[in-house]
Amino acid sequence: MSDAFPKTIEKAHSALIKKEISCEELTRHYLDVISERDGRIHAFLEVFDDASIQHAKRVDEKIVRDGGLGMLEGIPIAVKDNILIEGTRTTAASRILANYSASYDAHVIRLLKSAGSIFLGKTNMDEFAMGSSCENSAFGPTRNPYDETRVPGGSSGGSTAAVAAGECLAALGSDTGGSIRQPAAFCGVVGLKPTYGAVSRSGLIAMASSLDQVGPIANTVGDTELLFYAIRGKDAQDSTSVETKKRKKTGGLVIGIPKEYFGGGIGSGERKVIEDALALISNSGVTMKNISLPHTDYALSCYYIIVPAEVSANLSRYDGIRYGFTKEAGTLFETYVQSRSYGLGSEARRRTMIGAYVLSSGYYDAYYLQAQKVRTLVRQDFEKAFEEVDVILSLTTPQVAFKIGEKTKDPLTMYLQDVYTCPVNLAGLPAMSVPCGFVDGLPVGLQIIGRSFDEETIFELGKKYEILRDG
Amino acid sequence: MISKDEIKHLAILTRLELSDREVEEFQKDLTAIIDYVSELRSIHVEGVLPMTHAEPLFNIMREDACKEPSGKTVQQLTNSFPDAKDGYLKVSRVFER
Repeated sequence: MSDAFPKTIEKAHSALIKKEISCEELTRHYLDVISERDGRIHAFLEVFDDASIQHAKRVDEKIVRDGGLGMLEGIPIAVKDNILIEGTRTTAASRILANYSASYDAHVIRLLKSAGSIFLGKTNMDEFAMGSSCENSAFGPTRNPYDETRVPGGSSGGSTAAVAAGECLAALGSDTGGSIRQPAAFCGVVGLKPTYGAVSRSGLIAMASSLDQVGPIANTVGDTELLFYAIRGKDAQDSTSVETKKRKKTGGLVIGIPKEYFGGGIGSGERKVIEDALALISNSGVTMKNISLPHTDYALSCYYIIVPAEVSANLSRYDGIRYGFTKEAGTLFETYVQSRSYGLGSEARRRTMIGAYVLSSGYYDAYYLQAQKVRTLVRQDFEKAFEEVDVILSLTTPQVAFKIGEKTKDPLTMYLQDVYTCPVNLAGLPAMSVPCGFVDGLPVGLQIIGRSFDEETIFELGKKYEILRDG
Repeated sequence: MISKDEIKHLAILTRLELSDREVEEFQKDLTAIIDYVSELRSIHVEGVLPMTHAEPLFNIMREDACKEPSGKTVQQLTNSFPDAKDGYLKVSRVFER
């Protein structure tokens, strides 16, 4: 039955306006897949059955009335649970927000509501987006649809697993150091981390504010592009958001291959897959150039100082007073301590304490200030490279999805997941993961990194690559 | 090596309570992480400006105007509070009488 259903937003839209299917049928199909599969996958924390069917019926009435329909109107999507939808529970997969009901819509939700998208539900994630496996969720892990003994990646693993399992047409995630791209790679779907500032962060529960960005996840580059252009733009509620202009391209595409991204740590199967993908692209007539991003090896350390520092500040608001969950104790101080100790999971506590450590007097200059300076060097590496090339290609992750429980004992091995993705966030650049093959039946992702605010070139190459790959 | 006392001090700063076992676990984890990221200390950064943000932004100003929230918004906010009175958040006494 599922084969009869359109697999992309573009096809679903066309089927709706041609009245080949009703919006209610389309929506029910995804709700059926969710009830059939999600007991095992656990991509969703909450499903809005009634609300989505009611919305679908209104879309159907509109089709009958005037036939006109926006591209995203009536399209069922899933939303990561750190993005606020007014009047619904938004937990960021944390116990401390287990009872929190959002009092307003995130800017991206407001935009998608006016575009007419249907929200099927909220997806699982690592608590407060801290993690690379969805195992840090307070509400249990998500499983990879390709192999249920493996993780879907994280932190947006619920959203990528939902798309991969056919439980929705597309989804929203957030990416601070790879949290859209790494799970997209692990689940064999497309995921974009937009340029910092391209999408408003208003209504995104903050993890590391100088790095967080909301982005789209879908089955194809075309769908990812559609969703990106629907959510981007300046918003007065986020002073770091900017209005972006489409760039004017001149000449042919030049692709950079950074040697630091092809060193040790890559699995032999993964290396073969990326080499084949690069050969395919190279043979299509574009110019490939070897480049160097010399500070790559230091990006991970830089990231794991800056992020905990920002986490430590952002998570101080969860005091057991304002957001639903509380553990009353004798004094206000004890109420903070009891609520936070019960409400925050291990990784959240670990990062909060590291943050307090690197920001404390005596360590501030040696760690935090030093990391901010190294961040400048990481960005300068990219700026220099983009004088010569238009995009940079690499694997999204050095290895395919790992087993559930494999990396939970040692936080450092989990942090290594971000080695190819976090430099992009430090530099504020856009990057997308596109499926480029399999190792033992598990998907591998190709990462396309672009210049600031040049998502367009990333989409262009991504779509070209899909044709070459599927050709 | 981060000492147990430092871990206990960090727990007070971050308003967390740790069991003896957790103190040991976090001592091990934090020491490993801080050791790992300490590689940055050897990088020469003379003359390099710190980067606080991905885009160079300067003061973004707007009118300092108070927008009265709707009754619905106030209701949604107070519903989240463990204790509320007349639309205000109610907390335990901070100072002794």
